[in-house]
Amino acid sequence: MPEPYQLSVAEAAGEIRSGSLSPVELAQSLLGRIDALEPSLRAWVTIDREEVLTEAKRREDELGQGGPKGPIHGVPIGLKDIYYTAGMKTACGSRINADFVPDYDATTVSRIKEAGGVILGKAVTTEFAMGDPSHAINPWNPAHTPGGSSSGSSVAVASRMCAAALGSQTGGSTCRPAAYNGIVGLKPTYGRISRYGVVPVSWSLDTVGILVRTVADAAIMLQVMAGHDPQDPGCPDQPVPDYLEAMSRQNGPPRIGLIKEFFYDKSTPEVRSHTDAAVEKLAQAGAIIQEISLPESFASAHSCQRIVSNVEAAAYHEESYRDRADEFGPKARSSIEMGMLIPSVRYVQAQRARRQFRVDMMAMVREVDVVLTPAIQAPAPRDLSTTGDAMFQQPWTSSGLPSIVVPSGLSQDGLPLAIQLAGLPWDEGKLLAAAGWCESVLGISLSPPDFS
Amino acid sequence: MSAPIDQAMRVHYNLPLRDHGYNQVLVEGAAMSAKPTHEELLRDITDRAKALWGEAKAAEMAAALERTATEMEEIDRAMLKRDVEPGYYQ
Repeated sequence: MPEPYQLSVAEAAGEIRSGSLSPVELAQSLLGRIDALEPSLRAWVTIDREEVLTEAKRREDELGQGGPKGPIHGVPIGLKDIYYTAGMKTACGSRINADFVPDYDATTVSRIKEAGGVILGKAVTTEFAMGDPSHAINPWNPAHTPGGSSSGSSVAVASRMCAAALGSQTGGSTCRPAAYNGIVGLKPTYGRISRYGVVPVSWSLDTVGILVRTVADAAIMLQVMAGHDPQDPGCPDQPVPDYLEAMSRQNGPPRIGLIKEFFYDKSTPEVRSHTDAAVEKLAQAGAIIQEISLPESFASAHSCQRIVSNVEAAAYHEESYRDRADEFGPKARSSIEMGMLIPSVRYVQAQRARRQFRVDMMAMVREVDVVLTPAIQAPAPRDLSTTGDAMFQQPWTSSGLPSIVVPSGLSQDGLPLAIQLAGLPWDEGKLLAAAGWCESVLGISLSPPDFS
Repeated sequence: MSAPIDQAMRVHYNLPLRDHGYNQVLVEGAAMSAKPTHEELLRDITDRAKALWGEAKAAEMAAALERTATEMEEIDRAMLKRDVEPGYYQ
């Protein structure tokens, strides 16, 4: 029998529903795991043990009174420390927000609670989810960056301190750290999950991210949080299908569009040959692999993402910057300052180019079920002054298309590698189904050896 | 309103043609290139950096300013159709 902390969301929720595991037992197991690993990995900012155990007990009582409230009943979930939690600090990894205690929950947090989840704590983020590295440690090798900005969430999930945690993605902040830490990262369609109560980097780019260890868990977490929120102007009233059912409907292998252009050019030889081997394995299992080309508008996609991100970050942080510029880290400060300099016409042109890019990317993806690229150019860099490069994620964030990272093996240095899949907007069902199929064919589940 | 359209409307409505200074606008406009050059974009943001934070800080920011000018230039190089609206909330 595995220890409770080793269970996935689906396994833990299943055992709780069947009565073979109690929410308190699971919470105690995870808290014990955190006690053991946190000094080495520094993934957490706030853990309120008493509150976690009180909530777990309440979930246990609810089971006896009316049964589970939802699909994650009794399962503790970690939150990147940019999610508003009523009565619990949301410091955003910053000196400026160091004492900020919100008086309401983010919509995502409310939905996790409504589904029976237990808030485990707040995970380390880079400052305001921007570029200055956090102090979280990569469990695969402490000399290598864990990535960012959702660094604590990724490290916590990879090292089995929780089965699921929320991140966010403005450039590559969910899928890149997921790949660096050997876990699954899902960036849904822009607007699929409410951003209300999530401290922004860039309103028109920010997307709630899901960090888990299996594709099925990504589907469960998406189910819990997806759907219209009138509090978020970017979260429309789109139907929310049953994602697990969509995954089970996968009839045979998917048609996969392989994008070598740009993604192979920028990858190391090791990543290229690793991706080729993974694609070959998928093809042997029956996937139809078709190499496809990027649209012309891809050429400015990264620039659009950065211009928009910098300008919107400058708008959000303007007041704090005027009073307390010295308290921002150098990379956050640089982004804000650059955003202050960019002329308004250039910002609007970037937004126009994004619209065109999204239309072109949708046309490209329509040729197949999903597209596939390497998730990262190289394994996590051996450089703690950086969070790595988001260039393989930015196009999906900028176009708003959903993307998911699935572990595909280890590099020669023993660091995780991954593939990235992307699909059409609002069609996460098909994306998850294809990702689940790839996950089962590749058969890779990674666990950092020193923390297994 | 562009000068030719304005002129056409005045002919249509039989209004007297007057000098609205369009010639002046056209002369000034002629000094602008069809797309801003990298140098123009860089000069624009560098001047703004100097005005906001001074020469020394602008010099420190040179590499970031150069990168941002390149990004803006790349976006301007994109062949956008005139009817493409911004994609704020996609």
